[in-house]
Amino acid sequence: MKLMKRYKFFLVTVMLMAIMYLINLDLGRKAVGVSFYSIKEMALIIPPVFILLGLLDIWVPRETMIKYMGEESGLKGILLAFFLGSAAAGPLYAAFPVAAVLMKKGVRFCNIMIFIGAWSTTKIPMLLFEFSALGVKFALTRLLVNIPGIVLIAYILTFIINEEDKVEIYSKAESL
Amino acid sequence: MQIAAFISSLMMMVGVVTAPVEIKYFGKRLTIIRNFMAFIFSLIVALIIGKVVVGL
Repeated sequence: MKLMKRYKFFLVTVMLMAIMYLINLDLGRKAVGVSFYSIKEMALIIPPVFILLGLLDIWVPRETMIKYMGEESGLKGILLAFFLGSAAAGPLYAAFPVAAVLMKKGVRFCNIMIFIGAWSTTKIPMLLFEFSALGVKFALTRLLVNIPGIVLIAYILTFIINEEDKVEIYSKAESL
Repeated sequence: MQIAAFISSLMMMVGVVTAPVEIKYFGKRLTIIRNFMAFIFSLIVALIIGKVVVGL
């Protein structure tokens, strides 16, 4: 029963998929294809991310991280957060463990939020694809709107979240 | 084009399926607020891209 509860989302999805299969064979096949693609993506992306994380955790001292991305880092920290997020590859869920390690290293909360935003929207491989597939105008506009948007969202989130929550999030990252 | 822009930013910034993971790391409150703001922001981006790329 506990197992059922834990995987209820998975079970409901499988059921929906089966129903879809019965109604529309083509669509069902496509859905299964997408699911397997996602599983493959996860299996390929997660292990290297965790290896790199382990290296980051051990090789980069906390003091360095605080100096470059901590409370006093200012613009340098914001740029670095953008760079780290943009250079990364992989889906958004791979960014959360990275963010946890960054928090452990004493990176400023606002920079963490910028990192998450950059990871999700200004990834370099994706931008290159966008330039070729959707046009320069599309990609540039999106970039120009997104960069200030990410910073704005990060600052609003930092403003909204209170000190208690922040301490809790950081201590949670510490224990992971 | 607007729809393409909306879908693309939505898919990138909002994660409903991955929300449980996000909650584990950032807590419920922050996850909900972040996703909600990303959703609104996607709308804005789509509007602007539509205006710029397709023309007024």
